Amino acid sequence: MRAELAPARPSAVVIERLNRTTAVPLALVASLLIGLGDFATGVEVAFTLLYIFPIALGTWFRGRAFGNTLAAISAVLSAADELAWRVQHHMHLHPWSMLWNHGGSLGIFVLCVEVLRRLRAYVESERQSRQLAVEQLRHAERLNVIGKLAAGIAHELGTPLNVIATNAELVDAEQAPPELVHRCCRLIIDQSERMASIIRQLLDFGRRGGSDRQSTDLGAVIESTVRLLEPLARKRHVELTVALPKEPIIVSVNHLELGQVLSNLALNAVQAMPKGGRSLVELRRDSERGHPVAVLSVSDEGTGIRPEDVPRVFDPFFTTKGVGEGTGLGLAVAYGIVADHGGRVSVATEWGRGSRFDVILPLPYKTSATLPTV
Amino acid sequence: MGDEAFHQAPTPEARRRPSVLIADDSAEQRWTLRLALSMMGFDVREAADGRELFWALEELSRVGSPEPSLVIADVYMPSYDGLEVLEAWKDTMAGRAVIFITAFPDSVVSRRIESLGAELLPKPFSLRAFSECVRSSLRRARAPS
Repeated sequence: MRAELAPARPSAVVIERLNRTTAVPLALVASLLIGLGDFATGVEVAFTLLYIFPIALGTWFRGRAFGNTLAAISAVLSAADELAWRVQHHMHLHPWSMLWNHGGSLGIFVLCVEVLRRLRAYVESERQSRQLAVEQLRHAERLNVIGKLAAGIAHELGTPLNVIATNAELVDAEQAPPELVHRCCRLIIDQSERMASIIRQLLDFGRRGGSDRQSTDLGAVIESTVRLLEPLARKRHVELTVALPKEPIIVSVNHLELGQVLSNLALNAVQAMPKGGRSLVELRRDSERGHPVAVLSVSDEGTGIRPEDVPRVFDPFFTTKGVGEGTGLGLAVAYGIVADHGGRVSVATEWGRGSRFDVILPLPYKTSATLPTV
Repeated sequence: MGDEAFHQAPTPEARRRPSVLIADDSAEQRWTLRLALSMMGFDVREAADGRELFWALEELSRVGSPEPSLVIADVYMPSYDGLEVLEAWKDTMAGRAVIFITAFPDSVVSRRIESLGAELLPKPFSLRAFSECVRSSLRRARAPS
């Protein structure tokens, strides 16, 4: 759901800069070396064609003017080589033949510059249009997210607002039977509270990031959060079990935010088991592509998630719970908080069997076992 | 104003009264609409989601009773949405009025509602807009097309 922002790869930028600055001396030195080799081998046509490489290099990185300069230098060098070779070996000079040979070489070199220049322009325009397409896609995705949020807000707030307005009107116009007036007012109060809670959650959803983080024992966060949720779980006949590793796992996190992540996940687990059951909150150390990570899993034996709903579970306002049970913001908030901490949330589920949500947080390579107080 | 309908006290001899079927997944919304409609002199039946609405209409198609003459359905509901169900029972709904309520009427939904010949009432609405919508859609459904 969150687009990976991919700016131009830094390595590509480095290679580009390196070559732009080094292309001139590199091409000139190569041309001179080829010139020497050309002289040594007796101005062989096959050897003369080697000039094409520095010319191509120069054209690609410094453009047409430099490419043409290199082409001219190469033609002059090869002509000078032939001249020197013939003088050294007391051979007869054929001015027309020399003009033909080296004029021909010059033509090939200039052609090479032109081809390279066009190729480069084509590659450049392709790259720009691709970048533009990516930008447009990102913009469309942003609009999509905003649209979804707007639809969700309209839907979530529309119903309680409607209930409030209608009941208030019924009471105001004295149309509600007197024995029901109290019930109407109660509904107005309840629905206002519901709207207030949705707005609070929306603010939570928007106000993430930049929070103060400190070294926190994840096990302590789990224990305190689970303790808070236990009364609710008991009421719903859900047994919450905690499994912690022997050695504490200490990560720099905002413990309030992480507590919210865990309580959102655990609340989902409890609500996924309407007939009761067991839910396990487990913390363990693991590694992911060679990096040490902390994995916080919350699993349940509940209803599971329909396969078609799985890609949408982290979308804001997506919910399968009944009205009043969920706003569809819990998992979106959890996902956002974990992403802010450099981690991710993954889900494994089987329809009718239960679900497991894993919060994966990166660990520093050396985790000290000494435990600062939370 | 159309206030006279509201002043009709709900009487026990309900058999003569026109009836309405409300399908909404919010109990509070159903309760409120039930109150408003009974003040307007309607008998009210309820469906708590798309599935219940489906079976209510299935029963209606079997029994063939002319009542309820009006169905008020939320567009988005768990299991099936209101639009899906009413599209499925389009024949049964001939001669009856249908009002869809939704907080988020997008163009696709509006078009589908229009092609069903139903009314769309966007949330939130005033009591007056609601009672006018109920009356006008009943009048339209009764008038021979």
